Amino acid sequence: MRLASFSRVFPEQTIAVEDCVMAAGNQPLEAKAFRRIFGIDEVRKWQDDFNISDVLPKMLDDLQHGQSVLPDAFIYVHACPLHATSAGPTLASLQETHPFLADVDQIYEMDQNCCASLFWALDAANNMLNRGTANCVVIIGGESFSDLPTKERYMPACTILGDAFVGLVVDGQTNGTQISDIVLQSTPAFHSGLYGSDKDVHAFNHSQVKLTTKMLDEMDFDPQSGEPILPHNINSFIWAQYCVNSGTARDDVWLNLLADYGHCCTTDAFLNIDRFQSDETTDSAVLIGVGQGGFVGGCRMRKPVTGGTYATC
Amino acid sequence: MTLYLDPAQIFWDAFEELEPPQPEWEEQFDYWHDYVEKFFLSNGMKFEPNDSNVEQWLMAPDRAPFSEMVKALLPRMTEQTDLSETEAILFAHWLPDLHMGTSVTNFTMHELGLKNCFGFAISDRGLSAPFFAFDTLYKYLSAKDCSGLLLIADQKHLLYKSKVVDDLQPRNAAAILRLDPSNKAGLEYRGYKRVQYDADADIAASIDGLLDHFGLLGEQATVIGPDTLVSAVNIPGVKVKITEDTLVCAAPFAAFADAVEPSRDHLLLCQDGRHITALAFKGEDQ
Repeated sequence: MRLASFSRVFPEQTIAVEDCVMAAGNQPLEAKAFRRIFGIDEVRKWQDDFNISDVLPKMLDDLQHGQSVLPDAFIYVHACPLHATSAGPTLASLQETHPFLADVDQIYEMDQNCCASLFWALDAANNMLNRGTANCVVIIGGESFSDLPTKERYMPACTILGDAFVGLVVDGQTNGTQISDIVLQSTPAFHSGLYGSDKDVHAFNHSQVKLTTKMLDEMDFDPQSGEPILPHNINSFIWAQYCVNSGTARDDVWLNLLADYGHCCTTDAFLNIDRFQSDETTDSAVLIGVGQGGFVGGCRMRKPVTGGTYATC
Repeated sequence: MTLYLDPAQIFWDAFEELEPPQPEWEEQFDYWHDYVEKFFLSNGMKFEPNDSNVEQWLMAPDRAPFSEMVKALLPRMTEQTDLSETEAILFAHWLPDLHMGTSVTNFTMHELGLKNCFGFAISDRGLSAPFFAFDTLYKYLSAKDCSGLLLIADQKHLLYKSKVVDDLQPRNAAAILRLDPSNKAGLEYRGYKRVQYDADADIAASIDGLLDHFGLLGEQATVIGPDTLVSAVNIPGVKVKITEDTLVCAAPFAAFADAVEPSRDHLLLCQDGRHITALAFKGEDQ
C-alpha cells in the first residue's frame, strides 16, 4: 500500500506541564519531577472553540496537492470517544463541500481501539484496496482536547495529552513510500479500556513496555539494525526501559516531538513521517501505537528503491 | 456449510443488580454531567441540562453492566460444554453498555482464557443486530471451520434521557449462543433476510413470503416475534410465540430457547419500523 500523500497540523498555543499538573490540583514540584522522569515540557492546544472544520479543509488541500486520483473512501479516526465538533459543520457536510472528497462514497469513523485506532484504520484501508472496494483512501486522524478542562490532559505518572491531526492518502500503487507489515494485537486482560478503575489503568500502564516489546518482536524489529522506531509518545521513561531491555540505541527511538508536543494519542507515530521521508540515512522505519484496552498497532514504512538510491515520494 | 443449532446451547436471563453503586461515585456527578454535554455536542446535537441522566446512570439500585451479565451466563454454558476451542466471539446489542469503553468480547476471551480468538461487536442497527451478528458469525465460521459464540445484551440505564427507552422500559437482559459446525443434530440454520413492507396490511404476506423463501413449511412452523408482527400471521397450522419487547435484542432468542420444539421449523422475527428481519431454522428429522 502506497503512502501517496501526508499532512500534519499542530496548534500554535502551548500549555506548560506545570499548568496541567496544577489544574489537576497538584503541586508545581510534581511538574518538575514529571518533566525530568517522563520527558514532556509542554503540549499544544487548539483554541477553546476549536472545531475540526478549522483544520480539515487545509489538511485536505495539502493532501490533494499533486494528487491525480481522488479518494473514494474516507476514514475519520479519533482515539477518544469525544471529539470537538461543537458549533461547526459536520463531517458529512464537509464531504459535500471539499473538492478532494468529491468522489468519496464510503465514510467510516473509528475510535474503538483508542490510541492504536489509526493502525486499525490503515488495516481497514489496506483490506479495502486489496479487495477492490476502494481505489484510494483518505484517512484523517487526531484529537482536540481544547474544550475539556485542562486537568483532563494530565495522567499522573504516565503522560500529558496534546492536540494534533494527521492526514494520510493511501492507494495500491507500487511506487513511492510503501506501508507494509501492518500488525494488530489485542490483549483481552485489559478489556476494561478507557474508563477502567484506577487499578485497571495502573495495570495497563505498567504493561506498556511488555506490549511494545511484543509488537516489535512480531514485526521482526531488530534492535541492532539501526532502523528507527516512530514511537507512541506516551513518555520517555517507558522507551528508556524498552531500550535497556532490548538493546536498542536511544537515538533509534525518535522521541524528538515528545518534549514540546506531549502525547498526541493516535497520531504520535505518524507525526514523524516527514522526518522519515527527509532522512537520507534510513530506508525503512517501524511505527507503533499502544491503546488503552490493550490494543497495539504497528506497521513499517519503506522508501522506494530507485537505481540504488532512495527517493522520497 | 450446514450449521445445526442445538437449542440447549442457548442461555439467557434477565438481571437486577450486578454492580452496586458506590457512595463515592456521587463525587463524579459534575464530571459526567460535563461528559454527557460534550457527548451530545460531539454528535452534533443540542444539549439541555435536563437531557442528563447521570444520577440514575451512576446510582440506580439495579445496575447491570454487559460484562457482568455475560459473566453470570458463561458458567451455565461451560458446565456442559468445553469452550476452550472457541475461535470467534461476536457481540450484539442495541442499547449502550453501562460501562463505557469495556470490550465485552475481550472480557469474554479473558474469562475463558482464549488466546487465539477473533472478537467483534455489532450495534447501531437497532433490534436486528443479533440476527445480523448470527449470520455474520455463521459466515465467519464457514470460512474457518471452527466454533464461535454469539453474545447479546442490553441494559436499562443510559447516561442521557431517551424517549425511546422511556417507552420501551427495557430490562437488563443477555443471551449467549454457541455455534458449532461440528454439531450433527439440532435445528438447521437456513439463513438471514431483511424485508421492507409498505403498510400493516402487508405484514402477513411478508411473513408468508419469508417462510416460503427459507423453505419452511407452514403447518410445522413456529413464528417467533413481536406481537405487532405475529398477530398478523394467519396460516393454518402455524404456531406463534410472542417475544417480550423489554428483553430487547435478547428477546427472540429467549423465546426460542423457551418455546423450541426441535421437530418444528422456527422463524425468528424482529421489527424496526417497516423492516422485518428474520432468521430461519429447519426442524430436525425432516
